[in-house]
Amino acid sequence: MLLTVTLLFTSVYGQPPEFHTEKNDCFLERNEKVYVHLDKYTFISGQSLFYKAYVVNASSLKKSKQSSIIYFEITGDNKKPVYSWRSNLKNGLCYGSVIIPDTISGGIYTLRAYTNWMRNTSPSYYFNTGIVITKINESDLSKLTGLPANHNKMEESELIQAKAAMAVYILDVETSEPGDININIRTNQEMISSNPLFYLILQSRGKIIKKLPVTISSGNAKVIISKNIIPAGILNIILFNAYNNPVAEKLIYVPPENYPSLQINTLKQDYGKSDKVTVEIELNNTEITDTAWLSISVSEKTPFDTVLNSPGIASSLLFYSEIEPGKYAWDLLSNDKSRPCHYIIEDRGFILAGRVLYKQNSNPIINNLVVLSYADSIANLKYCYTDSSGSFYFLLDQFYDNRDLILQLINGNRGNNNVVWEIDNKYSQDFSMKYSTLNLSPEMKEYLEYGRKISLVNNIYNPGMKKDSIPAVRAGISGHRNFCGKPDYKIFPSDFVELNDFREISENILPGVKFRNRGDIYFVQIYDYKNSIIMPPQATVLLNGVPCTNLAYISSLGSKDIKRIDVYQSLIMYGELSFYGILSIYTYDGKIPESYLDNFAHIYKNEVRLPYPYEGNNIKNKPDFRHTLYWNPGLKISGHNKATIEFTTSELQAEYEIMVQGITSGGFPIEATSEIAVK
Amino acid sequence: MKNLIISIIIVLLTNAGLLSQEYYCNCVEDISMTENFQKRLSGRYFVSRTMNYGSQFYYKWANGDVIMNDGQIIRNKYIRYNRYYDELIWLRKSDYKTALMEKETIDEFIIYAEDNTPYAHFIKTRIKKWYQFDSTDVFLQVLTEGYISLYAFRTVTVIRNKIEIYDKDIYYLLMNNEYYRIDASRLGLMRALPQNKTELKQIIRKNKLKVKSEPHLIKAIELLNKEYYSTFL
Repeated sequence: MLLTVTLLFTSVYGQPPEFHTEKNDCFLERNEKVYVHLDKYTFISGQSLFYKAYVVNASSLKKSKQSSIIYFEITGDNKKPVYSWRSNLKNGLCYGSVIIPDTISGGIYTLRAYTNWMRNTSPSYYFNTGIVITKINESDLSKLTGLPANHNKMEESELIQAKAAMAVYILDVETSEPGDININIRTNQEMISSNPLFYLILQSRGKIIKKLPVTISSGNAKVIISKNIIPAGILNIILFNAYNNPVAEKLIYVPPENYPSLQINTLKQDYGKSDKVTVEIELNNTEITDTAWLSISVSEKTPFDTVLNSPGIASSLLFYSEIEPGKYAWDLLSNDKSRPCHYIIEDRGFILAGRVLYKQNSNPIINNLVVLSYADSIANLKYCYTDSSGSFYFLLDQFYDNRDLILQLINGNRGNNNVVWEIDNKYSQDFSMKYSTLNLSPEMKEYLEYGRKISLVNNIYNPGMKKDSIPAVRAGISGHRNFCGKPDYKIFPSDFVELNDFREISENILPGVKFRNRGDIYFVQIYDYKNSIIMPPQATVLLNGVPCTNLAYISSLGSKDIKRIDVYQSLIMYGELSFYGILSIYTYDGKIPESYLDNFAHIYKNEVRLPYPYEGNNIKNKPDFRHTLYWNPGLKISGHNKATIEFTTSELQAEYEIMVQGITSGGFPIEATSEIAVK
Repeated sequence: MKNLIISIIIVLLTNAGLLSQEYYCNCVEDISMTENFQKRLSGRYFVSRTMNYGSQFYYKWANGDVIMNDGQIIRNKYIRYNRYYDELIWLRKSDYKTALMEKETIDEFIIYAEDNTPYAHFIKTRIKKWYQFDSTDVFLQVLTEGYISLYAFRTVTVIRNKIEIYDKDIYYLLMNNEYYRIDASRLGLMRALPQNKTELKQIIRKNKLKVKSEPHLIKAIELLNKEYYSTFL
């Protein structure tokens, strides 16, 4: 007998299961999703990879205002990144380029993008796409390893079947009716009358959108849900029994309706070599107040495109980023599986995290002062103390980008012989990913061979690797100053007669500073004129802004080496630290001796990729063999406006795909493709 | 005795050598990550002179927020405003050392009362004092802000031979981005705002205000802003 029970939302038969809805829950706070638009997916080493990243709020799909840093890595089938970099996000968007290093051997690699916050969840939820890389001198390839297994190939029908076959409880979902979704619950358990209360949880985009008590009578129940409350994308439907144990789960894909759309118009399909192409991009079905942030690529179609099957922004954000193959959503929902957020959201800057351990026994070094500095013409220290696991954390703003940061353990004078520095490299560490091998078809082999030849020609006309997009130090960012304020006085040794070593300098031109040694032991003492006291002989010495304990080296510096000396003649309080006078020495070379750094510091190269201009067709008097005819990561269309772009075709006869991807201010991922041919 | 002194000096010097370059920290264990990421206050060790009469300070030691000139806010620090030096003093709770903070780095600070309500809000601004040739940065307490804003410069009069200090408050009006020093009196207010003479007279008469008292002066400016300049904001 089939008895259908339709429950009203207001019915209360008991306490529904408790789920994490707090902000700090990592699963529900799987609050960001990433999509990366690449200019192309097949590369020869030495070529540029242009990217535009969209980081959106997982629930609203609007541009994320949370994370300010995004991480990228190219991972091979050995599951270790072969190349990684990071970029700064501005309102959820960033663009840039990297040059594929020639150290990467040929294969299919996974390009992955994520934020630090997303690291609390499985790497399956990150942005993942396959890219093909071959070396310029690699010929006669018959197969490529590293093809990501199936993730991007999952079809909608597979998804529905994937998690439906639970033992005794079956969820049948009907979505064909307009306006409603019908959920039929069936069970073969006859004797459930003693505890008939169940709960149905509907979850979408990382948030519970409905909790419903369900009474199963005679093995059946029916629930009707209005489609209005369900956003487009994956809907998790989970049935819990009265003991809060999940008994059935089903995922369905709710396709988007009334979505804004993009239209690409070209004057014709076929063009000649070095022909001018005009493309019109039109935004339809939007409000007048809507804005769309778009990126456009016009790239050569390759035989690998169908194999890599890289998803567009809509299917990526609505479909693939919501599923983790082989895992149930309830695993992450249930109470006892909750976990604290280990990785902090980087909303105010980059978090440099790491651990310090004793080399001998790998025990953590606890409650030790870690100082971060860099060689510069100002002293700008940061410090923190290691916690019970030996971990330390520094929050770094963009001022620290692309600097060599110097980390030092201060208390105890622990040299690097006794200490191991473990820096969190922010790798995704996805060990679950499975890879397969791709046997190359004759078309694929031919394409790679042809690509290599073109690269060789390009290299002849553009000898040497292209300039990397990492500048030495970002100029023009100000706001940082000496952590200890203005010095009591500054001395420029060049204003005086030449002095051979620092002792002579201190005796002759540094009033109130005593620099002495007893054998190999040096000390600096500073007289506090204001309070008329001699402070303890423990004045701090900074060399080019970096704390330096190697006073023997300082003693060897004379007028020829030192540009400026700042003297602080009182007790300087900085946070919880006290400095009994500071002697800040700046040398002409601005460097810290390498031997000192090797022994007493850890260098962290704080590299960040900055936006890099696309050369386009500004190629004069050279053969033009561009695979990417056009790349524009920063197109913005407001309201019902159109955008028109123009570019010139190269001398490569091929079919090209015009791909426009983007996100609207209303939180709609939009995409459109079109094709042209160069004959 | 001589040998004893020499021995002590040797011991001290040896220790000094061994301990050279150490940092001294009175650390709070398990500093929260948020606190770890907060910008650190810095200043020079400072001991205020004691006076026979009066206090150099405005209010008592209290929790406060310091807004730095780079926009960062350092919260929940023990601070006190020194009226004699026109400087902000910070008390480090871990060792009860006090430091004079560098004025250049501070934009504003807010002192909280015991019930955690804001007690006083000071801003740093540049004004020209009558006895100086050039303008200088001073901390002014915000009394009311609007089309016409009222600030107080909390300073002191020092009688040096008696080592005595007496309170002295100087009031400034800010209008059209210019500061005007005013006397806290009916006449002083009229002179500072001649264009609003009639309105001020009405406000003072209607509300029975005695602008010599600070609360009444604040109320007079507030009412003037509300009744005559509300459309300008």
